[in-house]
Formats: sequence, structure tokens, C-alpha cells
Amino acid sequence: MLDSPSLRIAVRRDPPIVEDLRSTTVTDDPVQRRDLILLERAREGDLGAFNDLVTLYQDQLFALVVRMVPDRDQASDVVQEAFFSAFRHLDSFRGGRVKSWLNRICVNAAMDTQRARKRRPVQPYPELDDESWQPPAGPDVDPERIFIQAERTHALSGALAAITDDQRAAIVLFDVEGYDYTEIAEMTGVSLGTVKSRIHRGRLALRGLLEGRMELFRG
Amino acid sequence: MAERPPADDPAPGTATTAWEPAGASARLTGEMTHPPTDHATHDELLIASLLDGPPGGPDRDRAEALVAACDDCAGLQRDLVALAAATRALPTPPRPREFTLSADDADRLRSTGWRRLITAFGSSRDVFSRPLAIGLTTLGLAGLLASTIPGVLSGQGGASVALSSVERSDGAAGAAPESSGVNSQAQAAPAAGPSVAPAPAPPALAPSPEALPSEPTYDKYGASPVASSGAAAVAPGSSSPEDLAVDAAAADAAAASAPVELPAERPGLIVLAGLLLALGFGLFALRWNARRLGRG
Repeated sequence: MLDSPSLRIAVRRDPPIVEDLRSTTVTDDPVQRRDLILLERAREGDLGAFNDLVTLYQDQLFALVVRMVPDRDQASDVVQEAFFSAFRHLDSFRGGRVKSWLNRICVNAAMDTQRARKRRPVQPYPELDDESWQPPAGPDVDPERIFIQAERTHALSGALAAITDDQRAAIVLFDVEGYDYTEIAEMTGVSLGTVKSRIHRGRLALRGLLEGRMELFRG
Repeated sequence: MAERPPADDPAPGTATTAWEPAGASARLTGEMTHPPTDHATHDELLIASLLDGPPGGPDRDRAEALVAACDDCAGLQRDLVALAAATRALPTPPRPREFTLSADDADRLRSTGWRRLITAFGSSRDVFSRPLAIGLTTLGLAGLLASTIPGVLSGQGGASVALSSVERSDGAAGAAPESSGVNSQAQAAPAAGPSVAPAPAPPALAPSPEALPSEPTYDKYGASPVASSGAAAVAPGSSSPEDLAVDAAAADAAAASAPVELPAERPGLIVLAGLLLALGFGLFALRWNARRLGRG
């Protein structure tokens, strides 16, 4: 039976070709190709190449983290720590998008920081009382509009800070960063259903917190 | 039952077509023309999922039906859309500093030599060291317990220890085989383990000084009647009740003054258990240090 021709054919058949979606060689996207080149050079010890990656993504990563960690100084520390971690674990990059890899490191660092802050609470959200920074206004914007915008930002930031860390992270990643459910689930290490539940419950919680001030957001 | 006003005589200021019975009991069916609009019973999560859920599907149909039928649900959906848009438009504060790495940072972060070896223990890819440390520590603790608690290895546990102390405090005839006669040794030997402190035979529980001497038995060698009261040392010639009482008292005193023997004959097991325990704790410490190094 072992010598049967059909078995010989089955054994000698070439293994099926499976496309490696995470392969670092698939670089149709010029941005991804650039990132991979920089990453490869950084792996070989080129600090300048790594710093080029930092320069490219530091604004975006800070924008992500500062919405998850309401304290601006803490958010800054988280981003720095995330870049340290990325440099330390350059070898652990297994393909995929460099931006997603950096985002994942930042999200994990932000969540670690929030857990640590829960264990050792220092000062709850001092950033919310700091209204010194406002987005720059254009020359043709009237003061009333600026005031409403500032009120809206203040109210929404306060409500975002009041919902749970997990809900906030899911909402920021979905609504602001534009990741889909699957990517968020992979990034935060929870199931797809949990991600959906966190987003939906988080939105309802935001609406509950802002119930008396919803006029700011309507129209 | 409310009566519908005549069509040619509507109530002033009301349209006939908008009229509807006031009470639910007056209605012909539960709903008449409108579905129930008790918003508190509606599933708000369903409405929230309407924003970004997949098109089609039973849940989406239900949510759309709720939004179409209930004004509060429609308002909730509008609010959630507005909040999502406002979250997207939330301004980002300017980045407070550059996050580029200096050469010193890079030198500090590059793991080389022993540092690389140690950090491998605490890394996320290390799935081996933690269970190993737990296993070693558990084995070490179990070994230490087994080697230091008397009676554990012989399968008698602490109960026999408790029994022996009860027996000693009761003043029963001593259970120590070395102080017993041939007969009592023959009785105690089957009950005692090979290496632990002597455990009493069951008859040793009951006796009291008044019970001595009990019914005579015959030893299998000489067939001479002897008292069967546990380990009372009974010399062949001293069979009077007074002598027996004196002997029992002496045996009792000797048993009470004798120190409880701890098993000292297992130093190998104790050393091995201690070694395993130390290895387990050492591995835990190594992991802890590795994680600190990895973070630093």
C-alpha cells in the first residue's frame, strides 16, 4: 500500500504556497517601504535611522496617547517610554505595518501607565483644570464660536477622562485613529465582542455624562 | 369605554384624524396605530451599535425600527453621532518635546552580553521560566513539609501524632516499644510505620488505671497469661494488681518525660527540598531583575 502511486503523488506534492500577509517584503505602499528600510537600518545599529522613525511618528503617537492618558506630562513620558521600548525590541518586529507596531507599543505603555496610576493615585486629572492651551484660531473666527469650541473641548475632555480606561482607549482607537474592530482587538489583546462592547458602552457613558450639555454638540 | 365623538362634531381645536382614545384600556388592541414608545424598555446598546455596525442583519433592522418608531431613540442616535464627530475633531495639544534618542540612551538601551541573557528571562517570549519557577517552589515546599511533619510519608498523617499525645496524657500504658515487653512489641509493631515515631496500637486508647489489668491473653510463644494493656511492661513474675499499677505509673512517667521524636533520619530529602525551594525563589528573583532591566 505504501508503494501505491497515489500515495507517492500525495507525498511528493509540493507544499501549498501560503501568502505571508505579514511579510516585510510586501511593500506596495511607499510609506511602508520607507518605514521598513529605516527599521532595517536601525536594526543594524543606525541610531539616525531610528530617530528618523521617531521624527516621523512622534506627533501622531503623542496625539494618540494624550487622549488616552489625560495628563499631558504623563502622556509625554509614555511616548518616550514607548520609543525606548521600540528601540530595545527592534528584533521583535515580525512584519506588518511599522506604524501599527509603534501604535501597539504606545497603547500598551499607556494602559500600563493607567493601571499603575490606579494603584498609586497621585492627582486625578490635573490636566482638566489647565485651560492654558487652546487650539489656534483662524483670523476669521468670531469670539462666540471660539468660546463654544473651547467649551465643547473642555466638556468632552472631561467626559472622556471620566469613562473607564478601556472604553476610552477603544473609542480613541476607533473614532480618532480610525482602526477597525479587529485591529483594536489585536492591539489591546481582547476579543472582538469586547471591543465592540467597550466602544458602544463608552459612547453611551459619554452621552450620559454630557446629558445636560448636549446642546454644545448638536447642530 | 370612551366614545368617539361624532365625525361631524369634533372637539374644538382638534382634528378628527388625530384623535385617539386616551386610555390603554379603551383601545381595541395594544398598539392601535403606533408601536409602544416606552423608551426605558428600549435597548440603547442596539442604538449605539447602529453607528458603525455592519449593514444589514437582524440587530440593525431592530435598531432602525426603534429609531424610526421612538423619538427618544432617534434623539439618542443623533447625540451619539454628534459625540463621535466631536471626539474625532478634538484638538491635540502640541507635543511638549522631541522624543528622539540620544547616543547615551541608545548605549543604555542596547542589551549586550550578560544583560541580553538576563533580559531574555523576563521578556514576553519567555514562557518557560515562570512555570518552572512555580514548579520548583511547589516541589520544594512540598518536600520540606513531607520531610518535617512526622507521619506524612508513612500515610498516617497528623492523626497518629495526635493520638499518641492523647494517649500519653491519658496515662495509658506507654506505647514506646522499647519499654514494652515482648507481647506489647508484637502488638505495637504492625501499627507503627517503619521510620516514624512509634504510634500506638488501637487498644492503647481505651485503658485507664482502673482498667488494669484487663483480660489475660496468651502470648504465642510461652502461652502464659499476660495483661494485654498496651505496652505496660509486665514482668512474668509481677502479676499482682499493685505491681501492675506501679509499673503502669512508671511507664506513664517515662512516656510523659520522653521528648517527642522528630524524624531526623531524612536529611537528604530536606536538603533536596531546600535546594528546589532555593532554585525556585532564585528563578523568580532572576525574572524580577530581568523585567526591571528590560524596563530600565
